[in-house]
Amino acid sequence: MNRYILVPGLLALFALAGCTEKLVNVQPYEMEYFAQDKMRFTPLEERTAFETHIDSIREASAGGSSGFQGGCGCR
Amino acid sequence: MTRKILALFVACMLVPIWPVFADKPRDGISYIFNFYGDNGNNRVIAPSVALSKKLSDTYYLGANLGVDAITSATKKTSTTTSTASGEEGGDEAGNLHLRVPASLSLTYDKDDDTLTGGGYYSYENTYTGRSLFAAYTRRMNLNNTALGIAFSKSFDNWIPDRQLSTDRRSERALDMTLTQLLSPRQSMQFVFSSLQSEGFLAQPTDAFVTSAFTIYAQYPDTRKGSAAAVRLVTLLNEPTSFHIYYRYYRDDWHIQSDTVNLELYRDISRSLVLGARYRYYRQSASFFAKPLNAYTPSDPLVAVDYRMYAFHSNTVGLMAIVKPSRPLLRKFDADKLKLKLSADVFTTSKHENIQYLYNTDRLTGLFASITLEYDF
Repeated sequence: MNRYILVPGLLALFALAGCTEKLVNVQPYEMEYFAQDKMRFTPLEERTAFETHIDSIREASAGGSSGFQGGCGCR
Repeated sequence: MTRKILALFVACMLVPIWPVFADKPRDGISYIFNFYGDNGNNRVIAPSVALSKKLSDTYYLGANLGVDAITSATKKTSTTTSTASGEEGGDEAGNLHLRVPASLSLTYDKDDDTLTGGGYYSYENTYTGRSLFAAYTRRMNLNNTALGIAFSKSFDNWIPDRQLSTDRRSERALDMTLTQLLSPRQSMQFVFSSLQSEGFLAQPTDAFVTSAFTIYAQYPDTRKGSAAAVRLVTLLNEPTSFHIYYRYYRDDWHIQSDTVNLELYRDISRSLVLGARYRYYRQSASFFAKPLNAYTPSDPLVAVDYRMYAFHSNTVGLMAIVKPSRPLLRKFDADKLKLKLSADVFTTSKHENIQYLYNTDRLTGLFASITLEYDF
């Protein structure tokens, strides 16, 4: 698919996702579990950053995470 | 090797603390020690220090400084003991070289908005990395939804020991993230990444050497790809959570890949969380990948690195998060201290090019991480 259509389309879709109260599934007083380490998307954040870097050296794929990876001559 | 690791660990404990990159506002410091090693005699010892310092109610300064000690000298050829770059193919000890990455960022965080901008610089003998990055996150729907967009652009340069068509390599990445709470026990995240690379994209030292000729790796000078990923975190029961991650990647070199990552975490006590993981990765070959012996000097595109070919890998690992239940030292508040440990073992499938480069039919290795976090 043409990225010039896909990227703006996804941006618009994501923006619309924030415009509906139907997405309020959890009240503030129900969020206690999300404060726990084991419920975070990356409980070991620094390990994940290093692993993403190692994966980018061992594999040809990239992306799919929100972490920034700087340039490296290993890749 | 153990003595080298310990020496570097101790030395880095003495490194002055620099303010570093943090991707979310946090007022604290992390000391990180990473290790990677495989049966191709590649070793990376990577200690770093990360600091995120609150400057005011809305501004945070982030900084990150590390040193990667890299040993990766055993890319071997099947027909000669000397590679075209002059490295001795049979050097089991390898050559140690250093890579020094550093980044600096400023984060604005107020109400539902977080905006981060910064720069990155790294130096090593054969490569210089320079990047600018920015990220914006907006929380909405009573913090049930978060939208994120991040952009980075690099302006890197090879420092090669032979003439290249260009010394430049630049990469651009655009990441869009949607995070949504599904219930008090479940959350989901979608990530879409658009990636673009330009310049000399192969490894300048990769070469296929025969008794008749030497040909260097040469890839197309542009590459465009995209990745779509989804994560789901579920609380199975009070002490146990389950993480599922899937990513699909494709690019215009005809490489497609699937990545699945499963993680299970369990509270063992108030001060200990243990985790286990499994990761599966598979990819297809690039359009210019051929059996090594099929290449001739007239081929405009040459792949030597196994990453341009179809292969798969499996990774298993264990993780631990330790929160001291009592002060270790009077000076430190135990509630603000956290120790995170992990060790992962991976193995790839067998491949002709791995055999050619590393004299082993498959790569098997270990990566381990130790992080000590302290919140101010």
